[in-house]
Amino acid sequence: MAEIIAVLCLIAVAVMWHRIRMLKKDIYSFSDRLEQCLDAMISGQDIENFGELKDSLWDKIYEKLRKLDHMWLGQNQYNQEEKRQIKELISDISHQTKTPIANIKMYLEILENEEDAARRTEFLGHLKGQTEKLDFLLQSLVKMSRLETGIIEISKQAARIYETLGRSAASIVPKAEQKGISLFADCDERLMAVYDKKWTEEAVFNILDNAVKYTPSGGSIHITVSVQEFFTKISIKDSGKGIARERQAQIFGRFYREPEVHDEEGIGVGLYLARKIITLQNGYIEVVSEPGKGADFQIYLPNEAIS
Amino acid sequence: MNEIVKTQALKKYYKLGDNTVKALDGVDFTVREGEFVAIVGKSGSGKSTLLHMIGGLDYPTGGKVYVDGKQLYKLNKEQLAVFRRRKVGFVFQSFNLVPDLNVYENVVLPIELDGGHIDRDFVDEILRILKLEEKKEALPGTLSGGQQQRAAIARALANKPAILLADEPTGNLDTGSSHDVMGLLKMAAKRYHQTVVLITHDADIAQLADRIVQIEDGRIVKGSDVYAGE
Amino acid sequence: MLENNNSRIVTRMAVRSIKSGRQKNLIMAAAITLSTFMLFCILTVGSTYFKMQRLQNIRMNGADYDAFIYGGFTEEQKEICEKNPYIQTVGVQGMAGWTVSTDTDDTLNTVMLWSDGAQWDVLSKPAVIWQKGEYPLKENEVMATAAALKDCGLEDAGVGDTFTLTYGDKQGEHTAEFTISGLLKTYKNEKIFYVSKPFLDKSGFSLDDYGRGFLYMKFKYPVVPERVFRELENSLNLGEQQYLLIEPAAQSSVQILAGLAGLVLITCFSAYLLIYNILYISVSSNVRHYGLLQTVGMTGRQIYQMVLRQMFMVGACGIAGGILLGMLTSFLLIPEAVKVLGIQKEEISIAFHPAVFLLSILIAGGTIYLGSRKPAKKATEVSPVEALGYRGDFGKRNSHGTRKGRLVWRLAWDQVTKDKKKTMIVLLSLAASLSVFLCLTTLIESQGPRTIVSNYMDADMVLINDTIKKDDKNDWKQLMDEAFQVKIKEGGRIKESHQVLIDQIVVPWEPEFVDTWMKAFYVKWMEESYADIETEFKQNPEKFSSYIIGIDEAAFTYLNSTLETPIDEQSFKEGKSCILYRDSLNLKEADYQEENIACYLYGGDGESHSFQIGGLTDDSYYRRGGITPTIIVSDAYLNRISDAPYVFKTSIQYEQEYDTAAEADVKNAIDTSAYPKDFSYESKIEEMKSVSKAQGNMMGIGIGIAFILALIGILNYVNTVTGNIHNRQMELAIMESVGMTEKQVKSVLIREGILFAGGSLALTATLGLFITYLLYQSMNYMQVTFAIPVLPSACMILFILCVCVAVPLTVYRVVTGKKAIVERIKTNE
Repeated sequence: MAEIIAVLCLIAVAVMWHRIRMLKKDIYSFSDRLEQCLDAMISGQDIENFGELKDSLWDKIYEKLRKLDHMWLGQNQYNQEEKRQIKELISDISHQTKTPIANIKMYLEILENEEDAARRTEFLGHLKGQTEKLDFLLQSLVKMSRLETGIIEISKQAARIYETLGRSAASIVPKAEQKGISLFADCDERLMAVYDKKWTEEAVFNILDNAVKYTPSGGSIHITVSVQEFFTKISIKDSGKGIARERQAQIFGRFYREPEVHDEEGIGVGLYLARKIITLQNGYIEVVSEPGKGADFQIYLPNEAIS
Repeated sequence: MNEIVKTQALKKYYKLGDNTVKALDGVDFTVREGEFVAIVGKSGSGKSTLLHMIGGLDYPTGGKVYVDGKQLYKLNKEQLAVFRRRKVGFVFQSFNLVPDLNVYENVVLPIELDGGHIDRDFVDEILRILKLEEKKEALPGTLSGGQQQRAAIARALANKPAILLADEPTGNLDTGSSHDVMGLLKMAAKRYHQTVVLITHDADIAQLADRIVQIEDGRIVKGSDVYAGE
Repeated sequence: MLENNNSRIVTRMAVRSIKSGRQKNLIMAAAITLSTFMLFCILTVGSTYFKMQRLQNIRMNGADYDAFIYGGFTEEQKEICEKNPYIQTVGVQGMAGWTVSTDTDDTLNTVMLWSDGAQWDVLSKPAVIWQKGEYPLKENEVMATAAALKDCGLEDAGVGDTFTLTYGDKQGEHTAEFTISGLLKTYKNEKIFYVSKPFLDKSGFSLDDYGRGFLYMKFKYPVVPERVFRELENSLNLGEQQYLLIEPAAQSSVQILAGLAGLVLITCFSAYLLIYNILYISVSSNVRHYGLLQTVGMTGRQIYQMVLRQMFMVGACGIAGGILLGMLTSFLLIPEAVKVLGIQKEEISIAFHPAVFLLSILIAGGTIYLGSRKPAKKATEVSPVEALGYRGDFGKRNSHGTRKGRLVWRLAWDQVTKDKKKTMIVLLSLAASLSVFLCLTTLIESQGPRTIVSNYMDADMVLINDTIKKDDKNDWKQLMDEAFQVKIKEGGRIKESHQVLIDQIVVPWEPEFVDTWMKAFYVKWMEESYADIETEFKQNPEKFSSYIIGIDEAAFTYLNSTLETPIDEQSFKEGKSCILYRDSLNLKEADYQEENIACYLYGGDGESHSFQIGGLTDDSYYRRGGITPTIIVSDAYLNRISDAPYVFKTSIQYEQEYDTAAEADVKNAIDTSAYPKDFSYESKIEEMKSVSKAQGNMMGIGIGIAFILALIGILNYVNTVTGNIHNRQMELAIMESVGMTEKQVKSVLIREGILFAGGSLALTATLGLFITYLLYQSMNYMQVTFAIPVLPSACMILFILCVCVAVPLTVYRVVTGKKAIVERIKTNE
């Protein structure tokens, strides 16, 4: 009996010893690999592909390391991308401003030589128009550049939607009246949302501006606001010519203009900016439209602050 | 940016009686990191099959699938399960939550299956954003369709997967909830730098995506590519 | 590779799964509880039985042995036994003499025995209650049992005391002084003086003398197959007077063990089927669930572990419950069960051997593991994509074309044959319990006729004149005289009675048959050899007297029919021929049929009567015991030659079998006779009573066993039907929506039940009956015809039909409730 117990104890000890040895080996190999990966990350190289997608501790840690490495690289890429965008923006600005500046120069030259008062008044008018265009362009680009580089901080606060909509509408009313477009709004005055007043006003204005632009005289624009569980929806529906389905996703792109309406005023940043502003506030914009049946731009603003 | 999903000549044939159904017939498809891609197509066009292939749910008849640099179908069944757990978040039309587990447990299930450390702050934040804080202890059976779908999104995000796959996530919801769910999905994807591949037959929903890929009879017929710059 | 520590979630999910599938798990736990309970009880009964049997035998035999050689043994035989690999201990006991008288008592019955070391230290020890002092070593020392001391009138003697004893041995009688070296008390309370080896050597007895040496054997294992005995017996080359006697318990142990093992197997089988079926159904209906878990990233291994862990928990609860239940009922149930198996002791201590716990847990655990392995594997094999589109397997229907038969029957048949595997499992499970029931009731019902030695000529009562057993004919009394015969028939309830007459005779020596008989008789039965007494026999044959038996016509007809070659009735009646009682001698009837035997009445006129030997009978009914042959003649003839033969036995047939009033008449006649105490009787009614009492107990236990097994089988059925109807809820609702009435739905369900009942009954009637028959025949040493008990079988059929029909109807009512059809169609989506 005693012998059996002794033998069993011996076997147990042997098994334990073996297990501890194996465990030690596993731990050493674990830390070796970890070190290798960390070294690779420090020197900015790709980390070696150790992962086998197994249900083991190392594989789990490895995947996390890879994710971290990836984020690191991603951040770098993002920064470079930002720089590239700024460059692109500068070239955009210079390109867009070339025409009005050339025009102004030309008008100035003409003015210098022109004696006739009536003609001078006419060219001064042209000059004023070009200057305004330049001003508009510069202001748009400045705004855009600020958004693009992320300098502008969206500062959100709880506020009545009605007021913001009112201010945007007020800015567009003259233009609408000019074209004989009637503007209807249906909004509960008490509705509150958490958003950036200044920039949201701008976004709504841009969409209204776009609506007025593509709505023929005598048309109408309806603004309705409704509250869903998560988002407050601001719907701006015009009676314009509508947007073809394949272009619906493109209209929010930078410098996009409807192909048929090049003569209309605008540079194609309004909708882009509007989308950017709303997205930065954790909201989103959607357009529902069919050609010939008008377009319904829907702005979704989150009901509550999301940090 | 990096390609996170890439398929090469992907084929999937089913035997249905004497006929062979070509669910996917040579699909070359890529998704870049951070993209929000919508796959549209009629029912039976193969869009769900494509999603299953990307998610490592089924073995293809031919071709290759790379996700995050891994060739998926060189992995065995166990490895595929680990792959899904670590790299993929799924949101389906229905059949999403484990009925025996409450919302919180459902959300952290993939993390726990991996024996991982639960980043409670992160999970709480997701639940707060998705307005599920008060439903943490509730069993899925007691939730509305929209709430269940939000819980599914929370679960898909909880393990910070590389890619989020959604198959008609709003298919069972009314219009209002659909928009909420989509908005949240989009917002969350942005916020957590998530790559999203979404399947839908609804064009309104599809246009929320950065890119729409149309699939017909197992082939990609059109893929637009907008907003690459974001 | 360091393992990922993710097993906690698996356990938690298993717990959740148990909670959510409460009903299913309860059924499973209940089944495991029942099975473990059965296992535990069977094992406890087994171990208690063996332990008690052992104890009982040891105490009754005075030593712990399985077999012994009677009639002396040689050294070679002892060696053979010692070399036999199955034999653990070989003990020797030798008869050294017998006591004659002490100072205080001269009618002593104490024997003087010598035991060798092995016998004393190993084999006798367990039968000893207490012991003082040592085994004697010197010639004049004895170790006395308490009973022996009392016999010798030395109650107060202690160790170290001396006494004078006259004793006998081969050399004659001696008187000597003995010292008591030790005292002991045995359970058997034998009267023995254990003596030393020198004493034995001096006695003149040798161990190979007939009736002097005994060789006891104890086998290594408690269960000894028949084969081992046969081989041992053959290897020993036993002499004519030697016998290898085997403890009956050691022989029957194999049978009982096999029976218990069979029950264990069937229990495990039933439990296996149930666990397998429940888990299989559960996994099949949770395909979506497992698919979802896989999509979320649960690996196959984790799912497997989850299912097994779930089963582990359910199993642990079930096993614990079963063992607890078993322990509680053991105190009530086990003693009864053990008694039924043949232990006579009043007090039965239950053996809770740790091995019994371990074994029940191991067997139950093994069964659970085996039952859950395959379903668990199936759960891991669920493909997530298939699970996504899973809608249950309804619609998967084999096409039958246009078959004849009524719609309702066809629907029921389709349903039963749809999943053949599941159906088969349920049928098997039901059939197993039904078969056990059939088997047990058949065996128990036939227990009476199978085991009871039927009385002579199937008489209701046999009266015996005990005075005839006295050696001196003068002590004989004519108990059953004419008056007595008349008296028993007074009540009019006695149909007939047959007397056996007897008288004492002397058979003188003659060189032919009588000489052969005496030689054979002495070899077989006597210590002395025939040669020693041959002269005396020739001179004084009176000392070797025998008996003549007279039987009536009816008895002759019966007796004649049992002979190898019947004899002529006329010559028997006229006293020309006779029949002899063979007395177990190795004599062939045919060899002596032409010879004659002569005799004359003891104490009579010496007139010789000669008979032709017609035949030899083995019927001990005619045995009185004499040295020379017992002669059976017709009563008419006996009356003729003897003026007053005595009535030895009377066999009585009642008008109605088992008529207690008739029995009372006879008993009354005995009581009112002159010598009621000298009667003894064998009564069929009383024998029947004791048998049916034992049968009643056995029936109770048999029904209990069958009931538990039936419960497991029915649980299986209930579970399958519940799952089935749940799955078909939508299908049934659709059928109702297209115009099937609820009555029709119910009649489909009823027919399904009938099919299940019919199927299991058919299995029982074929396979179950076959096994029962085999078992029956293997135990049927009395050659009683095989008969199925009608009433229990009818009850069984009725019961199973009721259950099979009632279960689906009840489940249907519970499942559908009062929900509208539309609701029911929706619930399945």
